[in-house]
Amino acid sequence: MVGSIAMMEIRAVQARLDAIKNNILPGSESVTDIKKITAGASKNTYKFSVKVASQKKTYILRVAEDKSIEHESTINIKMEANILAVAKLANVKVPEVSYILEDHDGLGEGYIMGYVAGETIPRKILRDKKFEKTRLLLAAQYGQQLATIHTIDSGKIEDLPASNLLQTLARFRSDIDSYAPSSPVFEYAYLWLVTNQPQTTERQCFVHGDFRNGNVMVGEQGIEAVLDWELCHKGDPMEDLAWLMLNPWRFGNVDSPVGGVGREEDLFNAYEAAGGVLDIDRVRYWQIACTLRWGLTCSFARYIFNTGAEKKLEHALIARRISETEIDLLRLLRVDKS
Amino acid sequence: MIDTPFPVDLLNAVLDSLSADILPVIDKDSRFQLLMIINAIKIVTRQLSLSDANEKDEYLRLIELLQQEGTVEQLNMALSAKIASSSIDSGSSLLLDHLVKTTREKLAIDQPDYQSYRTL
Repeated sequence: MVGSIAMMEIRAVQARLDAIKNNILPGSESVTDIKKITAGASKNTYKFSVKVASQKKTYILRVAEDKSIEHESTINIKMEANILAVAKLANVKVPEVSYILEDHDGLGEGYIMGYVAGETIPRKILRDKKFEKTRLLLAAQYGQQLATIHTIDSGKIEDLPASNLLQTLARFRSDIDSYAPSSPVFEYAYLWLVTNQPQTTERQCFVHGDFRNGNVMVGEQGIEAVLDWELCHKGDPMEDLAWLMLNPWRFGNVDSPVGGVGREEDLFNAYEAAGGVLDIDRVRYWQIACTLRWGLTCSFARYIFNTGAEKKLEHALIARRISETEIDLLRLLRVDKS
Repeated sequence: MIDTPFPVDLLNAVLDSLSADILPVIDKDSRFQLLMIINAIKIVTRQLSLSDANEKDEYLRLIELLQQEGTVEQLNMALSAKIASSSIDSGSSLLLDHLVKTTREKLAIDQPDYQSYRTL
């Protein structure tokens, strides 16, 4: 790919960043400490510092990468930068975008944002002693951030995908047909979702789409930044609350439904206190819909593994988590009563 | 006749060696990869010992439910289609019992320790 830095050496990236250092921070003297970040699934993310008047400021460079297993995403990297900027205006905790790459910068498509220190690895946030007090704060902070996210003006984001409940169900139908054609449990759950749609009117607003443990940068004071906006869309805000409470993001802390750290009422109370409008029936409905959605993402990983040229162990293991989503569905639907 | 050890025993020896000899000395960056490898081998080991009996039970239940012949995959597709078109009673205890049993059997191979669903 011409202009991509996927194959580029660190030295070449450094030279190109050096050429735009004054766009990143006026008065910059040099670019230092450049390092590729390997954490998480993001491949093309670099951390670097800029020196200005004997001080150092640290940044993150994010460039477009190959499609991940997030098959639903239609957010390209330029939109992502725009979303971060609009989210910042709405007072959501997000990194500040410093510069959007131009073609002639020779770094491909992407942007540069301020570096936010913290931890994203769920097991560390859930188990490390240093987050002992933080954990008590998180459920309420999640609620507060989600209520703020739901005030983002979706009209300011060009080409933001929109999905009402009927469109979501249509998407499930085609995903089942394409990636899980022989799963009676998914079929059963889908039928339930079609025949038990909530009676209340669906509200539509900006929805993050993947707000959960692992996609939030956490420091000792709690949330430092909300990350991973690739699945954001205009939709039902109750979807975000349900997704956050999905069983897989509890990482074994099964009695703490809010991302393995907190109680439902702390999330709900903080969400309402920050201006969010709660509809518990819709949250319950979305918990089932979101479990099916995660099951279909696992099914897509299986499809990629079975049909793709590259056989990634990670995809194979995600495929073997389909049964986990099926038992979760049977339980939520009270078919499994044991 | 192929000599013993049996595949399951060989794989268990591989697992023991990976856990006892490699895991303690491997560098931090490769540790996660090794844990994924160990997890994958464990799945295969369980599948080798469980899948024949499980699939036979599933097969017999599917035939009883659908009153037709076919491979396990064909029968699962047929059952899926019947649920989708509401041409099978979605409240029938025969169906619900089958869904729970089949999912449990899959889980016994994929993640036998998975208990979290019990709190849902």
